[in-house]
Amino acid sequence: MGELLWYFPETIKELKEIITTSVGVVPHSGGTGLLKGDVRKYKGLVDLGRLHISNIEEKDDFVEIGAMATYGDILRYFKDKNNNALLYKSLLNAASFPLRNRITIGGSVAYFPPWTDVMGPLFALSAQVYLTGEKEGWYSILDYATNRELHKKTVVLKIRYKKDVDTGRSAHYRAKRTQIDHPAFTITLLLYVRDERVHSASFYVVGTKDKFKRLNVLEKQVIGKNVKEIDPESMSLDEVEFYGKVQFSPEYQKTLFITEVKRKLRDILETLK
Amino acid sequence: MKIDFIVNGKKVELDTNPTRRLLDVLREDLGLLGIKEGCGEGECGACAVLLDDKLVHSCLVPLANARGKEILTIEGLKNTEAYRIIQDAFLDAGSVQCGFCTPGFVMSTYALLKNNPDPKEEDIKKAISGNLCRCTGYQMIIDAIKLAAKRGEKLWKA
Repeated sequence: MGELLWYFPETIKELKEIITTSVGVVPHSGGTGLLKGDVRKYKGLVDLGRLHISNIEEKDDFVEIGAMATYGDILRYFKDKNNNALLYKSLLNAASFPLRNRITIGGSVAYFPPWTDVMGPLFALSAQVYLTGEKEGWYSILDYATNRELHKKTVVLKIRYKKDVDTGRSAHYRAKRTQIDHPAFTITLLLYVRDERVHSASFYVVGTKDKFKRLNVLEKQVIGKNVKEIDPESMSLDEVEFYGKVQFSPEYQKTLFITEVKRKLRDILETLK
Repeated sequence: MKIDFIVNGKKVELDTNPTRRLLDVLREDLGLLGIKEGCGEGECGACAVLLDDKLVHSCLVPLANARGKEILTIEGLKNTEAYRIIQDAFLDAGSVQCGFCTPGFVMSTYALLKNNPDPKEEDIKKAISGNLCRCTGYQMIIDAIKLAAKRGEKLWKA
């Protein structure tokens, strides 16, 4: 086996060149997963640390987040600006303080570990990812998460979502044993209310057998309804299957999921009544 | 591969494998033994250092990521007023038993007070969420951080 090569591109052009022409190289951002995994399976690692892609800014109608922005950067950005932002609420309890200074949003999107706290919110916010490499341009995060072709010889450079999408009522739940535990799964609920009626909703669970699932059955039961008439307890839920994890058994996760979806929905509705 | 970075204010250049953990390089190559290895997987915080002013677990940082960056370890903090205040507060609050986790807690305390000179108890708990202590039960460490915040008020706010 040859020596593992490291690349340190300083421009997007250099990055694109490396990603499209080298075989067996993978981008490397925060590195939290790297040292836990087996790096021997790679031929090269591309350090993204010199590309200056950690900026977070409002651009036109969007909030745009550079792929190298850490969870800590995102929390610091939203802290004074909008602590009701869904990403802020979901990352506030994600991982420990030092880990938040290492885990990047781009790494979480690209690797999509089942315990990630960002994918549920990004799905709910209908986020988009900007790729460079063999495929260049903006793609919906749902497409990126489900189409492996989009991962080949590409790198996530930035993530964005429309500012007005983040104006709904939201809740995020992490199924964990202790505060800093990886969640076994996460639930993200985002709904919009006009004249006391729910006019749209976006509910996701991440960490299921199929990795993630949109809760269409539940969404249909709330859309169009007056918030005072919605009774989470009487609602039927989507069929969601879990696999056994170090934290909880599949059966326990299912019970927890049913309880917490209803509880979080009730919490949101309480704020509207 | 040659990798250069700054450790405790001094420029360092090493010809080594960039995939090595920063923790190992600091301990084995540079002899900075104040940094401890506990779990080796980013849970216990015994290996905490500041990388470009941000608290990180050095066991999860490949050396390549430190290239061109500035690292502060407990040894670099040692002869400062901030260290003296934190050390005294830990001693006075009885926050040290076996002491293995203490350097990590000191680094977390420093990182917190530098950015938040007047932390609430909740802020303190979050700031030390990446550190484990198997002796003290945490309350005395929280008390020490409150004490350090109070005693060093002028320094942290400067």
